[in-house]
Amino acid sequence: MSFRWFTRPRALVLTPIVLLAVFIVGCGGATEPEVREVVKEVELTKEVVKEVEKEVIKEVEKEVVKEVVKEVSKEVAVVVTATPGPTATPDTSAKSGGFINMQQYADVRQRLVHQSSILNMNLSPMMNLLVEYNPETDDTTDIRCDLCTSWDVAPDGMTYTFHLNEDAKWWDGNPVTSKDIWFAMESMVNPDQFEVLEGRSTSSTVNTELYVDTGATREIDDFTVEIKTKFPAAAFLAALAVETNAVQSYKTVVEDGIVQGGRDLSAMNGSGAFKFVDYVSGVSVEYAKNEDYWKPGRPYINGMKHFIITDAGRAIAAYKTGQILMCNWITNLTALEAQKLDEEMDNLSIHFGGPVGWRAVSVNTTKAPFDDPNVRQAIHLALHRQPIIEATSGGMDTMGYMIPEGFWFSRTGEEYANMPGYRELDGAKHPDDLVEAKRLLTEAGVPGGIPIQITARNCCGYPDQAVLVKEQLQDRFGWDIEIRVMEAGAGFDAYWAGDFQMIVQGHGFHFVDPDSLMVKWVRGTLPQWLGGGRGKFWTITAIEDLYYEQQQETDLEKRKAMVHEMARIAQEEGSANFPIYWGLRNWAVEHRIQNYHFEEWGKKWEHIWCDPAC
Amino acid sequence: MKTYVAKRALLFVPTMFLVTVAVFVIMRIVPGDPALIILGEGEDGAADNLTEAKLAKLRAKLGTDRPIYVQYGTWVGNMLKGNLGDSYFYEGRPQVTYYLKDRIPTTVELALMSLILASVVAVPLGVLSAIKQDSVSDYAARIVTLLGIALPNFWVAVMTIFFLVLIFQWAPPLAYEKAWNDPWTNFQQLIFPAIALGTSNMAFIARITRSAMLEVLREDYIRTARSKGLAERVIVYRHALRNALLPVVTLFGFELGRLISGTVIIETIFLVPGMGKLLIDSIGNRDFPMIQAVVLVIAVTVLVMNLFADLLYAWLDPRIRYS
Repeated sequence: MSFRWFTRPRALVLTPIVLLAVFIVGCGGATEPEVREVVKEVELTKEVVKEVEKEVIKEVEKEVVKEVVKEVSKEVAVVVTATPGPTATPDTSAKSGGFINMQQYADVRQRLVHQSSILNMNLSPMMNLLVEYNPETDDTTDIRCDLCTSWDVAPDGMTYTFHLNEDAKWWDGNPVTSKDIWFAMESMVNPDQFEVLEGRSTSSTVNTELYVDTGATREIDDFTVEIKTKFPAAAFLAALAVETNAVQSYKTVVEDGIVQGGRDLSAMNGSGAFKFVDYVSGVSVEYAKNEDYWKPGRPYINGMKHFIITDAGRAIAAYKTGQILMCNWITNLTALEAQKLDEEMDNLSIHFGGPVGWRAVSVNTTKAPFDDPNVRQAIHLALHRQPIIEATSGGMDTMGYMIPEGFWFSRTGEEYANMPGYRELDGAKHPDDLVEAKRLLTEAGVPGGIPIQITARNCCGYPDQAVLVKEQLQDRFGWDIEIRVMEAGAGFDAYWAGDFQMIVQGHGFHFVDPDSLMVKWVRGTLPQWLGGGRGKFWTITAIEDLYYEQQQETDLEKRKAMVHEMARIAQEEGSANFPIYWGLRNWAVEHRIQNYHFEEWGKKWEHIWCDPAC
Repeated sequence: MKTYVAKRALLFVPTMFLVTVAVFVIMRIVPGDPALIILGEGEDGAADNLTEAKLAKLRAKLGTDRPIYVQYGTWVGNMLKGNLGDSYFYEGRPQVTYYLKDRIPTTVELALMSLILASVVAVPLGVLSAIKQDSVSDYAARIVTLLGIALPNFWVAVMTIFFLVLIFQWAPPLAYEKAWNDPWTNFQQLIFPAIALGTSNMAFIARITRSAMLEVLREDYIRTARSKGLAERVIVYRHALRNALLPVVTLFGFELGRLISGTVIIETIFLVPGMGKLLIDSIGNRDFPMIQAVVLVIAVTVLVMNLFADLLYAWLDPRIRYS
């Protein structure tokens, strides 16, 4: 037999190509796109649930009106639809079983349960909260009991008594008691008092300390706990329901010395619906159903795996091929990418939500020329936000100074469209704003041609946005602007060291209330960066005063007016942070996933099921 | 030969010393304090209760507050005892070696698969290009190799996924399986990263093969063989290719080292839990012990492969002696 054919040039070229083709076909031919039905019966189920909730709400409102000062009850009723009824009950139409692959957009990096909101997506399935944002409704302000069965508010509006669910238990079999709630509160407010937690900071995401001091939590008995807030705070429950406030076992942490954190998930002793199975750093986290979960009938699915997919292209491929069915919080797709995916896929929906984060230009007030309020005001007036929004999200993101659109304390887009700094004339930047900006610069004695550096961390589109800002300011002021792109960690180091003139950076808030939003302007990270580094706070005193005043204001209209006044001051009196736009987040979910609602908070996934099976 | 091997082995010592110093110093010069990152400080990171005292305490615990030369000495000392240190980030099981043991086989498998694929395509392509010099097939092959060198492998990776989804509605499995647990899933997961990773290597090997073949084909002994009336197949395969492959075979050693270091981006895109992915994550976390260990492993691999290539060269070509 002759092998002469193999020596022919054609064979030399074709053989490897054929081999490769065999590989590709062999690997790629397996999957047929599935035709999936959307079961309409689910809507009926939702209706039933809503009816029950309404009844409960009515009861609560009656109770509150009886016991609480009128203004407080009004505030509570409007800000959060608090539902101190029983915790979740099993849905009779739910189908048990199945396994869900989810996308996670970043890896676990925290060292403590109470350290990060965004990465608590890995801990939430294993934990419970005292109260939670109801994940079974589209109302993102509806709060209900998780570990409690009910709560009472004393007439002073400051004393909350929580009655715990006596069935709740840790994975080690011990009951969840008021001692654990006490420990959760104390470890959030002051972790350093516990030796095992010493040196581990909680995050600014944990806003509990805005309302509660050390020693404010008291055990009444094993299953009753009292929390006294510093003042009648409408937003207390809203803050408490954020998943960073998960309750951890006192025994496990304090007595056994096992820190409950994100990087050693195998050491967790949770009370939640899912137990940890496996964590491959940077790749995936796997969970299995807690067969002994204290909430009857839950969770519905047998397990889930969160794949850490940081590359947007890979994420899109995974959604398109059905490898992942949903995200465990938000996706890492841009608004445009998400919108396109939504259009291209019949069996997947993208939910746009928020906005709860803003992109801004910030300046270091200790570096000339930004130490001059006139210069800062000039930047605000000269920035043309609309083209940046168009370039980054195709116009989906929105404008707003301090306050985004869409919430009870918001301003509308129309209001912004007519404000100095935002207004346009025939689609171009309003000339009056540019004239005023130049006048302010002249008054400040800042010439054109001065060298300015914009620092952007190499992440999240910051360098691209820095280019757009550079072009605008260079064009309008004649500044000689250089962009310094820094690796993410190195960038933070520079910001904390005050080693920057101007930065482009995102900021966010954690629950829908001015307390959470406005706190970013008076304490924590941002004021220190604006002040030139760690410990060097910079803020506008009038804003700071108004912040603490509005926290205690019980009349919502007055509170809203105060918030608007804070924004006006920031906008007109030379704030050092200039919001460019408020970004929408997006959530992806395949249609087989049932009882899924818009999830800004939560992520425990004990309430979802698959139909058809997954 | 033994002297040569001994000399090369001895050269390892200063080379490794320089590598360790470079890795160690560069990581500490680059801004990014591990203590800050560990404490979660970022855009929405730590609250006001993150104090200098807390940072100082953590730095002392990590040992990053000590002079660099002391840190270096401790690290090298521990390394010589087989202890590559403890990760700053993985609290439950901090030993760096635990993670390396898990990740090295995956990366080696990916690199080997990539090298084999690259060779399967590159050698015939190079041979064809040489024996059909200046023909259409030669130009086509040269364009392919030029593209292979010019296109960055991360772009090839993204395009590979894109086309797989577009044409087959399929993407490599997300859940990684080790070859000995589930060979078919493992193959499906690694074959495409291997293609993406190996594209530039394929191009490089093909070009080397072509130039080596061209050189050999012009040798006197090839002319003699032709004048003796030997079949072209015999001339190409028995006389020309064997000799032309000499530099190509030795190139494999270098390429394998290069491939291992090239897995960094590819593993991230394809979600392959190898050393490259570990390195990227560790850099983001400023996990110094992990970064140092991974870079060290890569450096040692490259050095060993280079030595292996040199020795192979001498073994294949008896005319070469390193004495």
